[in-house]
Amino acid sequence: MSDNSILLEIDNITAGYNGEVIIKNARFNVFEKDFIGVIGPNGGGKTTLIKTILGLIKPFSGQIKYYGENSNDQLIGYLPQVHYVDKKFPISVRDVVLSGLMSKNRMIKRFTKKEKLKADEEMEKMGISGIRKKPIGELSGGQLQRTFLCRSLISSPQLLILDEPNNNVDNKFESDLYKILRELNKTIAIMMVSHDIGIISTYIKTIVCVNRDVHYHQSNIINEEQLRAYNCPIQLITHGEIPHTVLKTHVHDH
Amino acid sequence: MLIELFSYKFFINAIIASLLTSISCGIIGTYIVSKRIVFISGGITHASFGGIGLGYFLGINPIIGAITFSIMSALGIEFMSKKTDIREDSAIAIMWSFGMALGIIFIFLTPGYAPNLMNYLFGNILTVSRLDIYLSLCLALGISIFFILFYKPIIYISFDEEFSRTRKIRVNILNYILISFVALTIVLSIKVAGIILVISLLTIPQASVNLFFKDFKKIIWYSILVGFSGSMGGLLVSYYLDIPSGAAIIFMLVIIFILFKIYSQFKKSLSPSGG
Repeated sequence: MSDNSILLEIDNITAGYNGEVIIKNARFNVFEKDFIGVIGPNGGGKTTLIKTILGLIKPFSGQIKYYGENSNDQLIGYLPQVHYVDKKFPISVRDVVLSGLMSKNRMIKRFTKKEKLKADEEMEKMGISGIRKKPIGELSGGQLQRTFLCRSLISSPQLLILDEPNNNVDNKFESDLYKILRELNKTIAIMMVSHDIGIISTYIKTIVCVNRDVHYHQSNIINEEQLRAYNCPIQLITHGEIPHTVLKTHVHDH
Repeated sequence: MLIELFSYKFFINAIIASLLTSISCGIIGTYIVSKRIVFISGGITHASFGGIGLGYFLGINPIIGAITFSIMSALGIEFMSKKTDIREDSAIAIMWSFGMALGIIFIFLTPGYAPNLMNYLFGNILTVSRLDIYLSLCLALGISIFFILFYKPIIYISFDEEFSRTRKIRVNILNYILISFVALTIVLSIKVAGIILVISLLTIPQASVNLFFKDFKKIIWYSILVGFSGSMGGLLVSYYLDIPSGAAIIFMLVIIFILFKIYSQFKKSLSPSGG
């Protein structure tokens, strides 16, 4: 990883809400083509960390430096948790996808032909072009996530941040998602919050443990002792033949 | 007999006022219904009563007082719920009852009696003045232009505010402008349906249209149509049956909603697989 250049430098961040500190000592770098798994118990501050990186929360101290080729607001694509959006909102799949192109300096300008083609292309890739005119209220959980994934990718970000993308979706989407992420990871960096870290361990390159304190673990193998040292009591999802290993590497190619 | 009606100036004014109100309410109503901020709008409506009371007390046009109070309460609710730790619905309830209380106190303190008070509470579209029409015209134009220019950011912010913030859209300023338009629309519709009923002008057409259409723009267009038809129907009913126009208009709108609902159920039962 070290031969790749830095996209983001998270420099000793302390952050939270209403003056209350939720996360502290967050200090790590995000490199090009990184794949970071963010783990930790509920309420430990995973979402706070992500919101700080996205600029939704101003940190109490420390700073985040953005280095990518893209301008600041085009650097990161964001896939929020799916359940908080209002599914009855009168908006079509295509409009949701196009909304990913909005930015500070284009409030009025219409979408160009090229941008609309880009939207069609993204929807084609994600297998949702057949439903592009449908209102989002008629979609399944998986289709909705594909729509949001298109929205976060249409701006060609260099880093994609996903907040528990495998919640409330069907198994079909989940397995597709990992294929899509692996393909994307060939060109862009990915940072993913997940409970079900066992399944994605194959793709993860590094781990961030968040439980108030933020620890960066520069490997995708982690064991119970290390988790204890990081004060990160997550539920162990042991799979494979080595019981004390939470995340198992798969060295073979699929 | 119907032709004769059109020779009355007040009737022509009422038609123009309902058309302009239907345009503003069609657009703003679609915004508040989609964003689920109907309760905020209820709060703003009742808070504006404080301004009406102040208008009587100071001897100025109560509508001017209502405009001031409604915009202040709208901005106040938006600010209180976003920047302080007061819950939004509590902030709304505080503004709602505080405005009403102030209105009652001011009217009580005003010597003599308050003329036309009933018109503000229950609406009377036949009393719209030339000033009301000019104000409604400015508002309908202002809202239309604003929504044409900023249509995309408006629906994106309403749909997913947090994502819009990650795209660095100027969410706060747009929200403050929009909530001010909500306040103005409410106040200038008070003459049509009154404080107590005005919220239905902003919600019943949208709820009816939403049974058939799930597209923001279509909901706007058809809500304007439904709102205007309901107002015309109500106006005629109120004339022939000699009942208050505000209540008649709302009654017509509810009838339209019920008919639409029955039709949509009927359509659904005919095509069980079509969804």
